[in-house]
Amino acid sequence: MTAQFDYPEDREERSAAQVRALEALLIEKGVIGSGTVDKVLGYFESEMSPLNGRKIVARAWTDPDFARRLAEDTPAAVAELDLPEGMAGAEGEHLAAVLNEPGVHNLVICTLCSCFPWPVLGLPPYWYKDPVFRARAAREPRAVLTELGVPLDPDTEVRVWDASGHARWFVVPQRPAGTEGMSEERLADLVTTESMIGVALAEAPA
Amino acid sequence: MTPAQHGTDSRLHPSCVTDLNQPTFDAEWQRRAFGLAVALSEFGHYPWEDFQRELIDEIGRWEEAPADVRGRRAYYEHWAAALERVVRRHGLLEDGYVNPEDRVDEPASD
Repeated sequence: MTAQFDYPEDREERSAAQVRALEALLIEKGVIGSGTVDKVLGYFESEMSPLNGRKIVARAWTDPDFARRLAEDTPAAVAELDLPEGMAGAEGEHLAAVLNEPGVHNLVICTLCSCFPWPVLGLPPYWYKDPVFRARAAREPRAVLTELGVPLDPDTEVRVWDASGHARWFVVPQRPAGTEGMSEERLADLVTTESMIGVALAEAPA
Repeated sequence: MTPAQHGTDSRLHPSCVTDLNQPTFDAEWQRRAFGLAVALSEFGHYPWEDFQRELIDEIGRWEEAPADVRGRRAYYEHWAAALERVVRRHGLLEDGYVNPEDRVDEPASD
């Protein structure tokens, strides 16, 4: 192995070549088929999206019993809903919902490697992997939330959840005021990916 | 979400507030690196935690390296390096490697 930190100018091209070679070798060896990676990516990009998380949150807002089950055993509660097949794969078995409530705001980060609750939120936003975001959100979550435009009462407790292989957290934001009587479908439109990471609140109805 | 002011190092990276709809990958090879790592885990070639551990180690080595030699941060370059390591460690490219679905009466390798 070459020196650990000997990064040449063309290191991005080197990584690209490394990935191409690995995939080609694995196909040649018969470990995967020639269409396997495209199939998995296609599944991720079409079925694993924030749409799933939005439906889960909207159900939790309209059904307090569901919300309780969601907090107690997230994968089991998620399985009750009519969501795409395979939610239990791709780390879905490690999903764990945390519920915002008056006086408690939850924030999800991954300080180690930027892992993410794919089945309910899709692929992570670009900035989630930013080391400054990760480090500061762990160290001074309240300041970070203020900068991101999340107004928190000084008495509100901020709970930071650090994702790991054994728990992929996502946030159930609080239901916005003025949404009484709205259908689950309309409520789901108020739920953003950012609000399910905890860096935003659910949107107020237009 | 209101945009925050930037300008000092302690501020969040501008992408935190301005690029909320940015694509997740900068290049197709990053997308394939992601798909390959997930596919191999999904088909039982290694537990996801094993890949994750390699990724954490790769990122950790970058973070601990002196700032003047480690170069810019590049998440998917760490990802590619971690992928290569976990593939080697589990022997996926060795002669005689048997795919999980073809294994008979054999306990999982870990």
